[in-house]
Amino acid sequence: MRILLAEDDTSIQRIASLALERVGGHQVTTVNNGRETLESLKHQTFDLILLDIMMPELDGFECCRILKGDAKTQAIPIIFLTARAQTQEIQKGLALGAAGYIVKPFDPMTLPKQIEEILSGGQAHAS
Amino acid sequence: MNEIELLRQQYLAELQNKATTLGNLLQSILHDLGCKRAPNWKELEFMVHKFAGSSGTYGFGALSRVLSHLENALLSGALPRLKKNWAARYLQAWQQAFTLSVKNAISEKKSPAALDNDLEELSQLLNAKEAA
Repeated sequence: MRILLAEDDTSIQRIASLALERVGGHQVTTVNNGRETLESLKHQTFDLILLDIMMPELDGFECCRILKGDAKTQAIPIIFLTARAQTQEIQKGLALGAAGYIVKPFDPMTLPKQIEEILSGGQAHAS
Repeated sequence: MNEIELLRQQYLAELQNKATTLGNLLQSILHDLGCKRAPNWKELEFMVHKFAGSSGTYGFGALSRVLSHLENALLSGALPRLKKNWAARYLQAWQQAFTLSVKNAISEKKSPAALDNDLEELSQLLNAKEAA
């Protein structure tokens, strides 16, 4: 699977990319914020977007809203990867069209499995 | 050593710098509280949020719990609502718990029970004085 990981914390970028590539066998591209996510989607195609919420320039919620409102990108599943696990935040993300949530801190070894579960429709919220 | 352990060691090597940056921001906020200037709670919330997520993901659970305590106090609005002298007291007490948990993470020590007591005291401080 081609995954776009939008996360401004390089330490999380490193460990999530490693887990997704080595454990999950996926292809990962990383960007640092919502604006770079939108830019990246102009030139490349992805099967999944992992989106942090609290990012500079354009946050995850706003980025999700734009992507789900664009016919070219609305079908790409979005999973929020965030430490903001309050119920209202989760509901807001799901209402914007996200497929689910993975809560930070996460276990890198089980990250690919959590994604698989969400995409198979089993569980919207993995922690 | 596997690749995830190598990344963990790299994170550990960066930990003191991250802690120093957060410590400097805390000092600036304590200064603002002392001179009645509005503290930059948003910047603190952002930094603490990121640090809590990354430290927990790298396996430093005790440190992540301490950071989450402050993040929750900021997110709920409890800390900014406190009177300035009580907010300063909370932050000073929190900083002690934070310093201890960073030290333990760097020396790979497990979290002492005292840290749980510190967190409990911080919660009591917030709850008791929120309305003050």
